[in-house]
Amino acid sequence: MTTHHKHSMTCYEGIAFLLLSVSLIVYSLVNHAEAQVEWKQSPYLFPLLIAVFLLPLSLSVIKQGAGQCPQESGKFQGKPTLVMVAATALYIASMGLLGFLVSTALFLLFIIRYLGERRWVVTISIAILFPVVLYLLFAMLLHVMLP
Amino acid sequence: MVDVLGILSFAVDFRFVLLVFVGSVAGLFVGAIPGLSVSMATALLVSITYSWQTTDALATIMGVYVVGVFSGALSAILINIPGAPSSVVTTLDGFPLAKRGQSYQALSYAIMYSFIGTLFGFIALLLVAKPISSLALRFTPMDYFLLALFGLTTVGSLTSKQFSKGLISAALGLLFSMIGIDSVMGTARMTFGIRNLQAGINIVPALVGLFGFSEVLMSLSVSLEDGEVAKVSKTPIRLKELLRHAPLSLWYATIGVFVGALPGAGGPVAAFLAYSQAKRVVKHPSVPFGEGAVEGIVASETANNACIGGAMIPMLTLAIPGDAVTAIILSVFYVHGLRPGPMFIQTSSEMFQAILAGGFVGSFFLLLLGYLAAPRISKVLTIPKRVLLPLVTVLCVIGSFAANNRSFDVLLMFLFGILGFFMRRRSYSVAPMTLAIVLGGMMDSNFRRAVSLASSEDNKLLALFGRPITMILLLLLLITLATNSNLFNRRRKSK
Repeated sequence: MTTHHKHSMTCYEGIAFLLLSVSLIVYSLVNHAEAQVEWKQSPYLFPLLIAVFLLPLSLSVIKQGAGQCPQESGKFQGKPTLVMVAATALYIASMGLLGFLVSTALFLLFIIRYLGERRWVVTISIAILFPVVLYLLFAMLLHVMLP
Repeated sequence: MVDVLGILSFAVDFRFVLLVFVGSVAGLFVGAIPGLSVSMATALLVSITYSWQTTDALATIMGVYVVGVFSGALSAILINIPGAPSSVVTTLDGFPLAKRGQSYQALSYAIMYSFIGTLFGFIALLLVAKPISSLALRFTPMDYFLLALFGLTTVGSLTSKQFSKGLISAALGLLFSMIGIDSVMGTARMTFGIRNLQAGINIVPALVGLFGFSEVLMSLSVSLEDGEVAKVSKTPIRLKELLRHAPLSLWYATIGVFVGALPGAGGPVAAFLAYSQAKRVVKHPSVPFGEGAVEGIVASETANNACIGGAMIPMLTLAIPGDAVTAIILSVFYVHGLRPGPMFIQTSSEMFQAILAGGFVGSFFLLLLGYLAAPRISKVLTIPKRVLLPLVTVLCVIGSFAANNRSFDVLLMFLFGILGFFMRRRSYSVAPMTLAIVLGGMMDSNFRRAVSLASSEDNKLLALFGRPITMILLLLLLITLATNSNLFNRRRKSK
């Protein structure tokens, strides 16, 4: 089951790249026609070249996927990765509302606990001190604007 | 002749030396801690040093680069986890030596030969840059286009398990670089009505995402377990004994410079090549290779550090980065309004001197910090991933925002991070994409310029490819494509 999945993943990748390549060729040709300039000046000449270049490459990936030997998939911990992605997305979204200091502290508090740090003192200290130090370093010392 | 006095004037400037030192200290930690990389740190530094003077930014970045490449060896020796890809080979003999209670000896060899390698690399840069610049002055737009394409194909072949995947990564990077207002016609291209994309894909959030956030996700997806640290007991080694391998190290350094100068090859390839050379040349190592031979550490560390100067050669003279870090340094130049290329040494000699001075001063800090701080750094290596990875994520967010103060860049970083994560999981190297994002604009404009120039000639093909330099570059490109395709076919046949 896993082997079949792995086998088809490479094929799907190739098909995705093939679709991208064809779409890009169409996009470049249509937009070039609308731009009404010679090809030598056209902004769509180089994207067209890349799309044409991508075409045989995507076919090569499909071919590889079709003839691929069974492979064991590497070690993969999906849940922590997904949680990190979701927490980072929330962190970025909340920054505009809560500001850098509060959103960073909340993000660190949650994610460090989630990843397995059991000592509250350590978690809270890092969650408070790290954003404050960064704020002082970036905003005060380096004059870099923070969200 | 490069103004040696100019280099010296930087090397004795307190502010410059202090900034190199700050960068060196940062590099020591960044390189040594698995999960943090020199390219990630340099990408973050671009955003911090955005508003700085160029020489200040270069001083800090050179410190990080030089010491960061070396300090990957610390975790390679002490916990058998290379802090950087270029230190992978060092683990082969470094960790077995440390396990036998001789970690100080392993560290001493790594420090000394990293120093020799770095110094050799920068001397090569000093001597070779100008002749290459003179040659590059004769380059036409088509030559630049072919050179960049050759660079991308080389990167694709050396950093990916499958050549086609490396080239796809490069092609996607080129597509990303096309987004935004076209520099020739001034019209929006591939923005799909999104106003924020009109300014194009900023290189900083793309780099921070591809090298920083994706690294965090990769570390999380593999394991949260941390390595066991070998104890460091100080057993002095005589300098004469330490320098016994110096003559042979010059050969490894030459390999390092040469491989470094090939776009995309970088430290891991150089270290591997030098190690295989050492196995052939050294008939009687202290112990067999792979069981703690200091000769193995000497080869790996000399070559991967010599790569630094080597990678700078094409970056400064041709604007073609030799590796991921030089691609980021190239973006520092662009951010500060400088244009590397054949005229760079003439028009921006001060910056060239600053880079060389930063490299030389950084290599001395490597020696100093290596002997003073490296044996004590083992505690830092034990920072658990559960704490380190969230902190790196916060740094990625700040780094991507700080470059332009745009929230959209943070979103870009996030998306590039996820893209980089999937690419790595599916064995697509992110290095070709990075180089392609940096080089894409230059390739586009040079290609169109070459086509425009040729369109007025009678024989268009001859006008495009008829010059000797162009023919050589085209031949190199075709050879790269053909040999890699053959290799790929042979591998498949052997399966």
